[in-house]
Amino acid sequence: MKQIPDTEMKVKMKDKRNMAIAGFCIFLVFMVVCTLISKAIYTSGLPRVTTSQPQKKNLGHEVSTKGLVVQGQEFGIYAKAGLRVATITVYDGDSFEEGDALFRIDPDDLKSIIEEKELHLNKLKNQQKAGSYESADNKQKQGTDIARAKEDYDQAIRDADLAVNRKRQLLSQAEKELEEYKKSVKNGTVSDGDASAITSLNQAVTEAKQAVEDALLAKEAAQRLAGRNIQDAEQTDSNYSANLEDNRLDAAYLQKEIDSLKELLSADGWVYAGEAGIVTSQKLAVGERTGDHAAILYALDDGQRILEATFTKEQAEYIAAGDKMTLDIRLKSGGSTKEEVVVSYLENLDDGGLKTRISLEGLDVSLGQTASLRMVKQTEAYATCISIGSLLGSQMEGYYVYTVEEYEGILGTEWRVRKIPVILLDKNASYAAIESAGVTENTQIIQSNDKELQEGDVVRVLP
Amino acid sequence: MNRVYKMTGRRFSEKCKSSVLLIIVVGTGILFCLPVLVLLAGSLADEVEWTQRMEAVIRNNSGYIIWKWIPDYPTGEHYRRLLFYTPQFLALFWNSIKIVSCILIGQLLIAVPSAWAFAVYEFRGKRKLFSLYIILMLLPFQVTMLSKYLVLSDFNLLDTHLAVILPAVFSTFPVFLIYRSFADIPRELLEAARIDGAGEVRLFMQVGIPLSGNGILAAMVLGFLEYWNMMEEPMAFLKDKSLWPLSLYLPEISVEQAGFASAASMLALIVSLFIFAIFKDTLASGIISSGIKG
Repeated sequence: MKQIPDTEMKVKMKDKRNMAIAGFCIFLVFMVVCTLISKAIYTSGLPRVTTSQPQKKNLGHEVSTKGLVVQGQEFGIYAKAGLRVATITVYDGDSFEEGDALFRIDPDDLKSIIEEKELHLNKLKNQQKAGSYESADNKQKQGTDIARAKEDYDQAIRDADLAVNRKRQLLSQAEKELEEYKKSVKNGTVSDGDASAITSLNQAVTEAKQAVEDALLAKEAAQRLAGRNIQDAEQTDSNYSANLEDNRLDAAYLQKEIDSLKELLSADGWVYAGEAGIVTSQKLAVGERTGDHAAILYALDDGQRILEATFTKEQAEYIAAGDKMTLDIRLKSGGSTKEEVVVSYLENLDDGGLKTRISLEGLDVSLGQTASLRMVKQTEAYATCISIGSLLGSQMEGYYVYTVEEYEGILGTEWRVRKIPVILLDKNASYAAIESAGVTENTQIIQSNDKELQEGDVVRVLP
Repeated sequence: MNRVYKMTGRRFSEKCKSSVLLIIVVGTGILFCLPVLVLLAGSLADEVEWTQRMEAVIRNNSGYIIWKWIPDYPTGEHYRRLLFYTPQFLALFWNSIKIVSCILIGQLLIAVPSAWAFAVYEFRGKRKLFSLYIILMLLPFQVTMLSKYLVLSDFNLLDTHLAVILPAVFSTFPVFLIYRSFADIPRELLEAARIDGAGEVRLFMQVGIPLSGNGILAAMVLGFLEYWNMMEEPMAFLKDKSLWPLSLYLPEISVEQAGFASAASMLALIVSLFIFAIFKDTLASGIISSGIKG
């Protein structure tokens, strides 16, 4: 074995070795420090998430809305159509007492309308007078026409009877001649071989019979014609009577209108309230004319109250007629009350929502105040329900959830994010019921995270 | 005068010879160090420069790799990322330290006494047993892998560090190396110690180990280099990535991250360099003493 000399060289080599050992130790310490720093940087960069497991539960849908107290009964105050409004003293929401002035019709315009109507009435009256004179003349003339028509009828019958008799006489004569000829032939007075004679006799009989029938027909025609003439003469009279009656009725109606307008004019155009109430809808405008509809709608002070409320399209899915809701309303006396009410009336709205009207009978409330309705409807039990914060995505793009799954990496057991598409069955403010083949009762679904996540990200799961 | 000329000419030729030898040796040394120098240069080049240089390899185009020993745009980004932003690398680094340390400690406890027994004592079947040791030493891992797997599976040691440590602890290679060192100790010295009243254990601890220290250290150093770069056993017996040594991390890095991989390789190499720097003299004398017959 080669012996290393125990010289200065050996000492130097020993020093070098010590330096190498020291360097190695420093290197190991440096690696320890780097391990800690790198681990700290790595874990500080990991998204922190909390998870939960799906549960089986019923979803409760809270439906709440605010409504407005409105009148249950509404009454109308009317004015004649076509009158110009000069003054309005009440508007929506105003209260009034019995005898209060509500609005005023322009008196000058009223006067001119009355005059116009009176003129029209006078014309009608004049027409009536003229009509009655003409009627008497016409009656006399008509009587004459009827008499003449009847005379013509009688004459026509006589003439027709005469014609028929004549034809019958000719017929009997022709039959008599034929009979005599036949007797002559039988007696031997006339030879049997004269065929043309008997033919002409037969033909004469036939023609005579034909003439009698023609005469009878002519008699019927003449009788019919004469009868029609009599009817025509009588008709003229009934049409003329109907026109006179119409005029009379028009005049009577016009008179009534004029009377009511004069009554209004006597009050200087003012319309007064017949009873106390609150204006709910005033449909007048100064300077405009009144229409066919009610000028003012009002409700009684102590009348029936109804709560009107609407539900959105999303809420409408959970409301059905017959559902019970909790009504929370302030009373006139100052306190508030909670009552259970039944939704018995539902009306569909254009936007897909619902409107309901609930009677507030027995409750002392004021018109125009608000009240709230609330109900919690429990659905059927869903097998897989997650917190609403875990549900991501949208209806258009599709819903999904992020889950975490364990995997063994170089740094040991870590959690990695997986994105799982789901089908949303139902949801409320807190939970969502989902369906997915990738989600079981043991799946850890990410509930919250402090950084944006993507599929495959490594995360830190907080307890 | 002729004698002077002869002496000068001899010195010149000797100098020439030594110069030529030096050139050959240094050149060969540089050639052997080329891979390490490539790694060092590559670890200081950024990804863009790597892509440009390795275009022929990365994009499977025809052509040659363009290499520069000094990068155009040197950067320490890979080392920074490796040391401060890749805890996985450091986790595996400490796995390797743990595995190698346990193996070496185990070999000290198992292989050294075994070698002493073979070197000092005579017993029945010694030659056959030693021959068996040599045969086992020569068998490649692929031959014994299945039997090891089955045994480890029966002991429920698979997927644990013991699956890698225990087979290495009972390796026959260090026994062979240390045996030669123990065999060099003169018999007379041992007899003299026995006569002086030393027991067998004292003989082993106070005579054998100090005299064969270099051989033992050489075996340990060689063992360290072997197990620091061990790949087959961890790949076969360790499925859990958190138990992997550093030697299995490097292949996980893709070609597109060649600069990062170079930096990781350099850091893995540093430990071996330190071990060599500390024990190089011991290694040389130990290998020599193992090779020379007593």
